[in-house]
Amino acid sequence: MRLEIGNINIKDVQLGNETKVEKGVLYVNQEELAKVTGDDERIASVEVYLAKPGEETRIIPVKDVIEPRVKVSGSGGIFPGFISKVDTVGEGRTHVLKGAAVVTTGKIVGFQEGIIDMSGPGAEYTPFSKTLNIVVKVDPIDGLHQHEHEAVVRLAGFRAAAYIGEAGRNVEPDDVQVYETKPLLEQAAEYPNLPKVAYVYMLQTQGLLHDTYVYGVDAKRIIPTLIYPTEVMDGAIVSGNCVSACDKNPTYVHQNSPVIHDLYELHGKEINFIGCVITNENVTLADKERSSNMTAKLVELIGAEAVIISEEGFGNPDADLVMNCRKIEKKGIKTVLITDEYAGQDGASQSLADSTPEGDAVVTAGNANEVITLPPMKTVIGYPEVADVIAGGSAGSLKEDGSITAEIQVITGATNELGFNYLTAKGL
Amino acid sequence: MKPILITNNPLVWQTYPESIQIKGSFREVLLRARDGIHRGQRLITHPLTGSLKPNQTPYKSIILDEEPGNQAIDLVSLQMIEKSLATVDKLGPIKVQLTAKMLEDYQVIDLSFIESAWDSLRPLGIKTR
Repeated sequence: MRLEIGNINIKDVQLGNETKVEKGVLYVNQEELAKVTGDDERIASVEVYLAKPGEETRIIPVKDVIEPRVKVSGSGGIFPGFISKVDTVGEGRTHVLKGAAVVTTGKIVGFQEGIIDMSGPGAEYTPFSKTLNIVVKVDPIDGLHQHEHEAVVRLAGFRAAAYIGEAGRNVEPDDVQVYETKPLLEQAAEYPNLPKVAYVYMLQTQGLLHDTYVYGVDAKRIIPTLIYPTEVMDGAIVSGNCVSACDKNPTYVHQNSPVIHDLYELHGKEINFIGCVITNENVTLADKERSSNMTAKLVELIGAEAVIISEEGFGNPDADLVMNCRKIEKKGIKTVLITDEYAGQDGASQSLADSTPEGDAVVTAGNANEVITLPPMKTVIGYPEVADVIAGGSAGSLKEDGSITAEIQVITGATNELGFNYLTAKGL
Repeated sequence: MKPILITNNPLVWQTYPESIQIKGSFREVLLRARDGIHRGQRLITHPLTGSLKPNQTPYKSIILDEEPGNQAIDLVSLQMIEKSLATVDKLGPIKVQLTAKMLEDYQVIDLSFIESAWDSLRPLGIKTR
């Protein structure tokens, strides 16, 4: 499967009469965007805001971040199973409004997490302080149950991103990147002397505000399966989770998975990237055993010699991570794990809720318990009135001046386990 | 399989009247689960379901399998509950003031994990209420 990603570099975003891209500036018709986004009888109102890098703006609570893309050739459309029919995606050509992002905010539950600061110390922790954000604030009709409310806000974000992405359909991209994974036997034969590497992509799948969808299917209900990495870039995997926002993958991160991009970067040079297995993180131990058995079997079946495994979340998924690692290693296949840590505010405690001796090559995305003070911002988009009940905060976390003291787990993407974050470690 | 549901979540008590009601903390639910494991019960659900940490939500529901007559200790369950208790102790107590709306939402989310588990058990013909 071969996909061309045409990046249209967006240098600025402005509100305008027509939604279009002109000389690197994305103009958005606010009214039209609100209308498309709010096209659901369960939505009472939609407000549109812009938030740009460097501004004294805070967005809270962030539910999802989505990159505007449009499918210009090849089968299927963006977000198959939700916005487009369930045709297979991942081939042909897709245009990306690079640098722009749709951010959804909605008050689904009473505890608020997911903060993006566009400047100040918090901005250094979230990758979405560097994107030109079009924020859609979605208010539902009264009396909507939490499950339905979550779906309403999630789908509104996809509609908004698809609407904005359309603006890139007839624009000549600034650069075109080609990503290709061939059918397995062909791919294995292409670089016979390079180690065959597969990617095990773990998806958060536990329940309300803890779910992920693949081609419109709740990923709790899948058994692990193979997916072409390029399918992910066209929105085959979308997010339905944001609790403890530091280590959850917003849809934007799925569309831009650094693990997939880095594996493609080394493909044909140091490794033969033969494919991707998606698996879940369900609540029952039988599901965990079944999924990890299946995952280990699949990576063996495709002939992988080494595997990268990324986790999404902490606690319950640590058990899945450990099972995947142990069972794959038992088959003689090397693993490298990517996770983050809840090592206590001083970083001195055990990092994960589970462990295994086979997990001897682990990359960390940072300690989510680290404490930060976010200064007050001039503008707060979303629902600032409830910022004092941030689940990752400490007592009195919202001060009178509007500053927030909390663990970095409240910041969207701070310890992202696909590596889509800024935390790093340097040798002294 | 004979699932038993132990919970300190009033919404789960209400939804599943046969559940074992723990009038205590998150940690006490785990301790009760550990007692069961010592008597031969096995964990059906992971003790640390959800991204809400034990120092954020007060609610926890766990499903165990109580196979009649079984007294053998399942070491996988034992290890998992001990590691989970260690995580609870590491993270410490809840530090924020919980509002009525937060408590309600935490209950709904905890219930959704149990619903998610029953969905997984449905093919086995397990009676859920």
